[in-house]
Amino acid sequence: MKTPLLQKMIGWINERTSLITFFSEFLHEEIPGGTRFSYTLGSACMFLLTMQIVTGVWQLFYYVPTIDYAYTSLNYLRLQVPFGWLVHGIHYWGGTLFTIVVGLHVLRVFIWGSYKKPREMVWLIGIVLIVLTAMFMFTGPVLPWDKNGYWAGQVGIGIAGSVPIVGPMTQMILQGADKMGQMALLRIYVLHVAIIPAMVGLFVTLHLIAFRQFGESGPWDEDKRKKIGYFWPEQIFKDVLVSFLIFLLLVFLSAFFPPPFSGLADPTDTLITPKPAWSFLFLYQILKFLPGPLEPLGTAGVPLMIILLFASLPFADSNPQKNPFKRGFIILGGFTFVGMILYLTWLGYIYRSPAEAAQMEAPNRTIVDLTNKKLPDLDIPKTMALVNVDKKLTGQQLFKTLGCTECHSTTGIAGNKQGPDLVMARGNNRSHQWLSIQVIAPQLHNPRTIMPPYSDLSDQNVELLLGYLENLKPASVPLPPPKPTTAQESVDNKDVLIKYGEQLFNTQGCVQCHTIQGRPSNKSGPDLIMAIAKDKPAQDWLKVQLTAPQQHNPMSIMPSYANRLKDDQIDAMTLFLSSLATRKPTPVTKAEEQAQAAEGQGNPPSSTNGIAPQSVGLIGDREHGAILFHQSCIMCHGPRGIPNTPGFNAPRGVPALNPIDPAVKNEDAQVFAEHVDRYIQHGIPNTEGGPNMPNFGDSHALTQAQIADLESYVLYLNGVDRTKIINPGIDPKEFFFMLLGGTSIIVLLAGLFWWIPKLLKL
Amino acid sequence: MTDHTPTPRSEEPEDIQKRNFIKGLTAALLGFLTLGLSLPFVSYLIPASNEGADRKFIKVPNFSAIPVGKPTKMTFEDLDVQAFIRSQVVYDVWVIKHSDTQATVYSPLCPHLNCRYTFINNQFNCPCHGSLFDENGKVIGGPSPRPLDTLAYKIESGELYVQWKLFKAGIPQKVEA
Repeated sequence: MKTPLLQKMIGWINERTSLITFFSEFLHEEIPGGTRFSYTLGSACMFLLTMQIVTGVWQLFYYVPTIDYAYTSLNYLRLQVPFGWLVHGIHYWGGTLFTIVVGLHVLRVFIWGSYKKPREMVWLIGIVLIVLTAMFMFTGPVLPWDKNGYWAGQVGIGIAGSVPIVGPMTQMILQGADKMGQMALLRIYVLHVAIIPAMVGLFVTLHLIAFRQFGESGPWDEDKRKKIGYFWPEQIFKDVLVSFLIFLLLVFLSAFFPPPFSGLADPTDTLITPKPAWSFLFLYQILKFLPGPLEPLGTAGVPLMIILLFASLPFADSNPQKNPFKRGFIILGGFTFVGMILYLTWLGYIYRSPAEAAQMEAPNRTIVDLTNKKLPDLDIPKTMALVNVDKKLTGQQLFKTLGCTECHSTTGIAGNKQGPDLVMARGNNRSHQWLSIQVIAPQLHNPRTIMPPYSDLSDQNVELLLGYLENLKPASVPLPPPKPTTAQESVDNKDVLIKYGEQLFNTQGCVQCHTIQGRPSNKSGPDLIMAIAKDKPAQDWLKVQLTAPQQHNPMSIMPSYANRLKDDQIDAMTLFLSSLATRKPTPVTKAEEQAQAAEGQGNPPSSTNGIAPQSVGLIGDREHGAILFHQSCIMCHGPRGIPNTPGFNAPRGVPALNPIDPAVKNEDAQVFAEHVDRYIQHGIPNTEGGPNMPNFGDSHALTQAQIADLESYVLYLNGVDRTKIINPGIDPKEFFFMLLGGTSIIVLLAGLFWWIPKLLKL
Repeated sequence: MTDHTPTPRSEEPEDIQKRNFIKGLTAALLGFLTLGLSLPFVSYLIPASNEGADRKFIKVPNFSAIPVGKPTKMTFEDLDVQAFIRSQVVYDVWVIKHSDTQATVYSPLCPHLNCRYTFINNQFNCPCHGSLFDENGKVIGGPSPRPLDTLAYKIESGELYVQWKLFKAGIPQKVEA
């Protein structure tokens, strides 16, 4: 049907390039034994590779390879760019399918004996491609810089670093710095989008050229080989059909199983079980069987052995016999190998550390996943850096600084605090080891405890704290002194009472909100030396302030101590407070100076120039948020944010989070998150005398990534999905069904074209 | 590339028909695949329109503090959001306060070639090419083709809000850039 002009043009081009001759030879290739669907695996690899290249390049239009924007830019792409969900989804699932199809392709070649003479080079080039695929699968998941990717990268680079001799240098080259950070992300990015693709392009070309030299090896049975099939159109039709089905599968997976949002990478978060990408799980599992000194054997030895085993196959198995039923030993060996890899992958996939297993069993944790609490952390001073900096703090000071007094008393009297009185708890005779675990990871003893883990404490500080706790004696709190009987005695007794009042001040939680240092502090209450020196309040006024502070100021957030302290204790406290009017300010210590300096540097931009904190733009992981909620919020807001449930009553003035105040809620997830964010960042005083909402962001008690996770969880509790696609182009599920509809029409038309001529003939 | 001569294909009409059918179906599948991919992949590149962003009034702080009748250069900040990047942008305008509810707001860019002008000797004076304007923005010298560009503003409870806009330079008409 070619017009003479077209024919002329084609001829003109071919005379100068022989391109047409080349392609027609390519297309008219004969296939011994006829066309087969099992031969489509190679072209399916090509199709998937093409899809990876296109979607990969398309993602580069939005993705930014920096640690502050990688995750945000990817989420923008996924939720706000039309069909971003499709481009990213195809790339995510395409990588997985590519690995599987490459595996099947290798298996097919293995069973058919197609690696044998004269096709050894095709096989060897194929091994290079497998290694390159593995490099793709290692570098790709790091790029989102989310929790999964960060830890997969961390583990992978660690594995590379443990290889003998070349390991440390490889690690330095990959990381580009002394630890995993911006340089590592950029290098992994360059590998993933430039170096590895270029090498894959080269080796795929070589693979195809070498393959065309001898073509399809065909069936092992000589008789079957006599039948001849053709590449065009018969085999190409099968290739296109399989590729098309793979395309439908990719869209289906992207629409119905979108990649997870695992929250921004947070190097300080110890709640994550670092696991590599699924394609490396078998290796990860092998490493568990190899103790310490043998580890390089697993990290370097096993992959090297596998590569050598593959490479030597055509030479070790040089017998020209291709029939798998006559190559029993080799085939059996091959299937044992595949079975082992699959089994190890499965073991790695289901692996849970004992601590994590304990978390999973805990009730009311139905959506909680992944909680491997790392045990004693030796060298990571993180949110508690300030505490860990000053090694000179005593155990008692630590006890106060860490906020233990919020929940525990040390008076030997059963109080109304959340936690047990620690003097009374001495009666349990807990071992040193038990106490140490209770401080670092209390959930190991009781998965439902509301005590937060102090895993960030240095070993030294844990020892200091335990030293203090183990030496607590009921007698360390003075008994109320005898009541003065005469005026003279009363003067003598006054000093004793003031001393007693000071001890009460230090043990009854006053230090949570007040300082006695003579200069302003960042605590929520006034500094008492300043306040009392200024106003010189009467003792009666102080007494009312202690027992009913709201009488003086209805908005006061100070709790009443009427039920906590006995009358004579309140008297002692009043005396102590009055005595502060003449007390001199304490000098600023070096530790405090350092702490203030550090705080100044660490201030979030919000407090200075009005730009919203980082967490607002982040899409957190709600499952991780649930774990954090369990640790930091549940003691006041109740399980799942419900303030009053059987077995739990929220303290006074603590608002319900589930359902949350309608004024805070918003159907727009971004706006809703911004509303919640303010409270978590800056805290808010409790107007009804209950506990205040702490400033988790400003105090750096939680990282911005953790706050984003918590926000996702709170939104989820209120039925708002932070990961909802804002601009899908076409709704993912609708788009899939549209494609399915189009496909059905093609099939229907094809049926008509095929059957109608036949029917007419009859 | 293989050495042996190609085996000739069957020319039976039924085989030819079958071959053509397969060719057609292959083309249909490939075509549909291309269509199914190109529609999303092209719309992926079309940016979302940001309508309304340039109609926003931005607060100019300290309006109550400036003297009446004297042209004053004022700066103000806004949050500029493009895709996932949120950045702080600083603008400046010339404000002549007439009363607590009346003012004139000039774009700080000379209509000639967008240089920033100053106010000296009761005249707006552009240092680049010497355009001169009086306090009403009227051209009193130099090459400027039109008077100073005013910006829309509103004053609510004593606070000044300005709508920031850019205009095409070098032409007699005031046209948004």
